Amino acid sequence: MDWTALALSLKLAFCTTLVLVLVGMPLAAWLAFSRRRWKPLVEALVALPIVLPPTVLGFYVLMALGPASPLGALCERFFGHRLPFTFLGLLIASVLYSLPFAVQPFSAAFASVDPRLLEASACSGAGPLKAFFRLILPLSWAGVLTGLVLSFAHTLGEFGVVLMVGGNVPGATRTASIAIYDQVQSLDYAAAGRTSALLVGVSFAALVLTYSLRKVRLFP
Amino acid sequence: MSRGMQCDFVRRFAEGPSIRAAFSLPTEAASVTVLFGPSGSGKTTVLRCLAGLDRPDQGFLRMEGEVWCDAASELHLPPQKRSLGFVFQDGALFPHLSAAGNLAYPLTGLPQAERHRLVQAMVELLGLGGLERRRPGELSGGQQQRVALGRALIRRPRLVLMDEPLTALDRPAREALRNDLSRVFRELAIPVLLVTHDRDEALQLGDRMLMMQDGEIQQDGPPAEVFTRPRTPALAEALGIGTVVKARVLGSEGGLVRLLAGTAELLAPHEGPLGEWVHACIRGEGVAVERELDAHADASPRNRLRATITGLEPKGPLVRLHLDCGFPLEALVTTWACEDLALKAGDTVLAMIKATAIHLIPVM
Repeated sequence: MDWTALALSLKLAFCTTLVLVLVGMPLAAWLAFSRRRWKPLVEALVALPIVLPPTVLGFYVLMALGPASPLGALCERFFGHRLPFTFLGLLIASVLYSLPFAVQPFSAAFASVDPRLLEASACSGAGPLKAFFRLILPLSWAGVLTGLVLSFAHTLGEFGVVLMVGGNVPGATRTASIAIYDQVQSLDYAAAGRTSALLVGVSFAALVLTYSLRKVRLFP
Repeated sequence: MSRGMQCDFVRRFAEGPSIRAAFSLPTEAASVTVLFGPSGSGKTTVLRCLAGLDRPDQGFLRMEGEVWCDAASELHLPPQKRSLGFVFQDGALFPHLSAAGNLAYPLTGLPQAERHRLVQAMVELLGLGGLERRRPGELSGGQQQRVALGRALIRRPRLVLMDEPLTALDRPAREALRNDLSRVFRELAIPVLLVTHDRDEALQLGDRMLMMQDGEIQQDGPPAEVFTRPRTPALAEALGIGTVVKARVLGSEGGLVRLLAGTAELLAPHEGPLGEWVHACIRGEGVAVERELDAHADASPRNRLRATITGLEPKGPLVRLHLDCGFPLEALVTTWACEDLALKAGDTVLAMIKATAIHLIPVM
């Protein structure tokens, strides 16, 4: 059993989810409430990872983070090392790859808050930040939870992007899904079976947790 | 000149009429201004523009010298930057917060103890004791509206806007809250602009009434006066009421109240408490007219009043008679009855008012 790979997968999924909370929430709030004419462009951009093959996304991330691109060069100067084939590079790719799985449920949940409550909040003197933390977030927690679990589970199971950007460095970028691929390549079906079963178990447990939590009513 | 609120703005809709509002409100003392009109007349649009929830296409809005909105310079303060409270028709309470949580929501930057004190004071003022920890879903409609009112008042804004706050309630809750509103408005010195299409509400709560029709304010005055003397026939039509007269309560017995209206005495049925003064509303259909035959008509105690006809106004199959019987009274009679009696201006007649056609509204 490759526990290092599983631990790495969980760490990646956790970090990705954390970053998605910080990046995805403001983006989702903007998508839910903005009336800009070019909003559909942003919506399409956010949804793109759903339809693109992971290899395509991985390829562009690899190019963008590589030393040949200005962005990659800047990152290299900032972090002191190249990003591809490191955990940080993998994290950036994962965040992009799982973005729609967080932003879409967040945004749908925010948008479903009764607009008259938002008006009541504004007429009570509350600015957008207070409205978000005191009103929108508590009222859309079920959708937010769904987004969190979906991005966690989705990151746990990603393969193509990891392979393109992360490669197969044990302890740094060799996640559980890569390990399974490796084990099959070396005809170690028993090990591959154990890792697969474990991944199924963890993902299933996460989803069961979400769906049962959604039934809990926080207020009447 | 910077005192009070002044506004003059226009809000246009792609399909439908333009809404224009031009008026000023004094803000230094407690006063209730009623924005009255039939549905679709643009009352709510005016209220939303004042709150900043809607943007006028043209014009301005100033509050005590501070510009809240000026379409020419594209200045438009968002609602949270305007010192106001807004009560929605159905409360719009925050469902995840308790009654106390809803009341405290507008308060910011106060120490915990001070917040608690203000919330408690509001709970007492509005009779919400014991309900502080309930969520909106566990409150009755009337209780919810009380919380909504408290939420609008708690930070003592410069102006409180109310959009038909009693319409969604059932009759007993509506009357109870209406009585409490007049008390609360007097206790807190905050000017109120109240949108309604309910005559009783306008008469009981309003110090002043803006009558709105076809997207414009058509008349401005004390509610009883606007109801009694509409400026145009179209307004009279919209107001749909005969006579409103302020009367003094002389006494009551067995569910009948004895009143002095002008120089005439009236008997009217009423249940529940009344103050010293009431508005007596008399439907024109409830007033019958006959030629005066007996000289002792004045002595009759049962709403039989000697009256002089001051005007006749044909209205299809009916004639609206304007009478003077110690106070101005309006009667609605059929054309043939009018011809039968050969009524003309200046005649003296006997006006008989059915007691059940008189509706009493307490004066605050």
